[in-house]
Amino acid sequence: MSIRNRIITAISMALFFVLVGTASASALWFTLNTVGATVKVATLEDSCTNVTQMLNASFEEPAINGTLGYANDGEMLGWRAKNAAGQPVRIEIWRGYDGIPAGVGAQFVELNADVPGTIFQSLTTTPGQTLQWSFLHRGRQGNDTMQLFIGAPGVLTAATSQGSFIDGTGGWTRYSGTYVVPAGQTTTELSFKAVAAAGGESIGNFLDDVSFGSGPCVTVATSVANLTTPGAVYRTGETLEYTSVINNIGSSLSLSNVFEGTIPAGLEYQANTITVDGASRTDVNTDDAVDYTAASRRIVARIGTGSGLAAGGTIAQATQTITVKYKVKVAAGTEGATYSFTPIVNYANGLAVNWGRVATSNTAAFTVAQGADLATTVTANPVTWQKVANATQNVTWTVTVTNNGPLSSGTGSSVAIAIPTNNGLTGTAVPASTGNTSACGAISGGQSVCVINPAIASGGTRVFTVTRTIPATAVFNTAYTLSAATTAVGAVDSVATNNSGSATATVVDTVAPTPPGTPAATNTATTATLTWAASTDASGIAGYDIYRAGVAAPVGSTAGNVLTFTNTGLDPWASYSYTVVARDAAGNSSVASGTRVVRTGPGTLTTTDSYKLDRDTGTEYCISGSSATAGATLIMVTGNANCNGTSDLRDWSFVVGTDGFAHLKMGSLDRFWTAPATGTVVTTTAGSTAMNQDWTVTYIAANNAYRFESRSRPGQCLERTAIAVVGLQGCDNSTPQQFTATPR
Amino acid sequence: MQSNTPAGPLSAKPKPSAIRALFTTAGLMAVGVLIAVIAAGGTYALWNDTAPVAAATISTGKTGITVNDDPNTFSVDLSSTSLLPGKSVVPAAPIRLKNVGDTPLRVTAPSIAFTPASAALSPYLTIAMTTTTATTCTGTADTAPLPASIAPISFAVGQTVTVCLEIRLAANTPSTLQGATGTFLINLNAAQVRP
Repeated sequence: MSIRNRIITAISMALFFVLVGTASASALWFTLNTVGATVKVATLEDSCTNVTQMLNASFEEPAINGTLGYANDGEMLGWRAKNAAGQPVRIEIWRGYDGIPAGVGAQFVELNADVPGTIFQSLTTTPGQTLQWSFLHRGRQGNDTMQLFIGAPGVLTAATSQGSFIDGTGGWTRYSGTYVVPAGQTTTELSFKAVAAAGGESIGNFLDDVSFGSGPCVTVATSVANLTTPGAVYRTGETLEYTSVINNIGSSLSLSNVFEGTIPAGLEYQANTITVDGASRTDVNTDDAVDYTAASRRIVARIGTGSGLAAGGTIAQATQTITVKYKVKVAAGTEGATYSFTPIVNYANGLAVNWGRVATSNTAAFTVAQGADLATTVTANPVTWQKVANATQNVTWTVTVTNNGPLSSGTGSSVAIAIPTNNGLTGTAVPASTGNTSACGAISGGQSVCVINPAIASGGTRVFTVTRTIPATAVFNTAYTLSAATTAVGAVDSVATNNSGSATATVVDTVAPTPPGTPAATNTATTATLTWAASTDASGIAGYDIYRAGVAAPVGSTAGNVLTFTNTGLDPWASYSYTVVARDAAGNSSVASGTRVVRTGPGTLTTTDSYKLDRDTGTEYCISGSSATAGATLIMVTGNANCNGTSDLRDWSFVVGTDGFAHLKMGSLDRFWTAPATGTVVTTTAGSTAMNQDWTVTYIAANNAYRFESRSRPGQCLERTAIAVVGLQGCDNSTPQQFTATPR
Repeated sequence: MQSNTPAGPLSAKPKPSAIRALFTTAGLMAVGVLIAVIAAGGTYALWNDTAPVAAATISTGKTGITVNDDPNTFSVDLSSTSLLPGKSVVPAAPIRLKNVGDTPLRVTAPSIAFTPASAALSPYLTIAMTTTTATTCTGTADTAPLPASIAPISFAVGQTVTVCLEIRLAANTPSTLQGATGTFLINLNAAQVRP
């Protein structure tokens, strides 16, 4: 080797060792291996096939008396127990003993009964099936340990162990899991074995609410019923009710259950008709667990225990049924349409709450009847008439059957016409059919049946008429009614609500009674008694109403045969005007009678005494004649001697004139108050029947005083206008026009 | 074809040019470097034997890790226990890892490989491997998270360490993965601990 090559070789070797010594020395010293596994995700979708359920899952049977009891071997439904030697032992049942509540229901069991025990139950299973198990465990006096085995009957090995479970006294703990039934295993046993207990051999390991099976399986069965016309025919305009019955036929609770359905277009949802288990719900989306959205036609009902505004509740396996109902109406113009409704229930399995499951209902379907639509109408002519004495009246009823449907009515359809059968009717009762060969049968049971022949084509009509004669003796307001009902034969009548009709003709009285006679009257100081001559009317007088001027409503009424009325509570010395109006049985009223004016008597004043007429309560002033001379002026005087002394000039008596008005007479003299034709001065002159000596005396109860109004000068009352002056002034309620009357 | 050129008189071998010498030297050095790099980059078999280097003898060590006595791989079938969302599955018995080499080792798990058929499921699986002294494996409580990664394990020469695998299905696993099977391998890298 040349020197050069030796140098090269040395350099290469040096480089080699440098690389070996420095280039990731640790990385060079490694080795590899692998460890792996194969896992499989559970399948929970088969819970509605080969449904498997436990018996007596929460130990509610037998129900014990008291808080603690035992079930001997064979006495507890579904369950048996054995000791470590495999010998049967009794099962200890708790029902509130020691204040410990059941996890579910009322009862639970204690595995450490007389001895540490194993409680077990066998079920028929399908190989390959994924079953779900769940239970509640609780310690009694400390941490208790229990082991669950699932496998072939009697095989409690490590291979069949589902694990050990340790729990203290703090409460119930739920455990759950799945189990795949091995090939060939058609019977599977679930065994809970007491392993250790803080309280000793006979104290510990509470167990409750065991489930083992195919999981929740919700089913929905939906049907539709015709509420308007029960039966299998559905017509436009009819109201139907959908009913969905929801059950959980699985082996564990179904969670978050939500019923959903979309109402087919063409069916009119009836607002707020949704019920859940019979309880009404509203359509509003924010007030309860049920919503209806009109835009999408969608019903959403969150159902089950604990359901609310936001989420569905739970449905217990095997024992809980929920019924959802709502109503729809079949829209017009939908003949022949078929409507299918397939609601669903979304729910969840507690082992995988995010794996939503869907229970799909059967499809509730129906077809709206398509055929004839025999609409029946009835009219009467005339509908009413005024009875004329001794005259009869013909009335004609017309029955019209119209086929509004798309198909012919079908031969053999008929109309049953019920004829009016009031007393005294005459004329042909059997209906006549015009323009066709339809035949109406003889009257039987008050009706005639008319067979529609030939069939009524779509859009066609058939008319039947009945004319009867109303007797002259008909009583007013008597109704004569003819009714008709059509029955379709050989074709479906798609609308059942318009097949019948009726019309009524009535004898009426439209003429008012004659007016009563102008009443005569008698009176007292506070009453007026009226008597009048009777009115006459074709339908009779039902009563009389008595009116008084100034009062809108009658002040009294009498029966039709009572011709007198007394109006009480009137004021003395007052004038009242009365009229009487008659009413007949048809409600017609006569014009008013003539007016009767009644003047009541003087009341507490008498016509036999004489009175001092005072004005004031202070210094006394009384009315006096200025002298006894005819034409002397009426004045006011004062002083005890004047007002209370003996003088005809201040001594006044009330005389009732023949027309009922008061005359004011001076003492024993032939002098009476006389109103002037004009001006204000009142004088005293010789008595006469002239109106200027008539005075209307009005009693003012508040001051126990009287006011005097001139009859010849209406609206002018006697008034003290100055200290010693009295004369006429416009009537008012002022005290200068009020005078007290004191017997002298 | 015959050459018509007459033979010339004998003459001295011509000296190589400087350029030629330079290429020759570079070629020899390249061969040396290549040998060095190949050796350093490593076929492990080279280190399972002795080789004479010059006048001295260098003796190499050996490394090895077995899983349940298998020098290459070990896999456990847990498919008989169905996985539920949020739940774990563990093998009944721990897995034995043993250092069968003659140097201390530090074992890491740099990667987990899923089979192609497991691609849809793999994002929803969390895999843990933890040491244990128990004779059985128990799962972690559902409410407790699994370790985010597999911690390195150190082995003395000849030491056996037992580990438990735990595989958890994510709570948000879609229902479309019901019945899906997942198979994976954890690559264990056992590296010599530098003395």
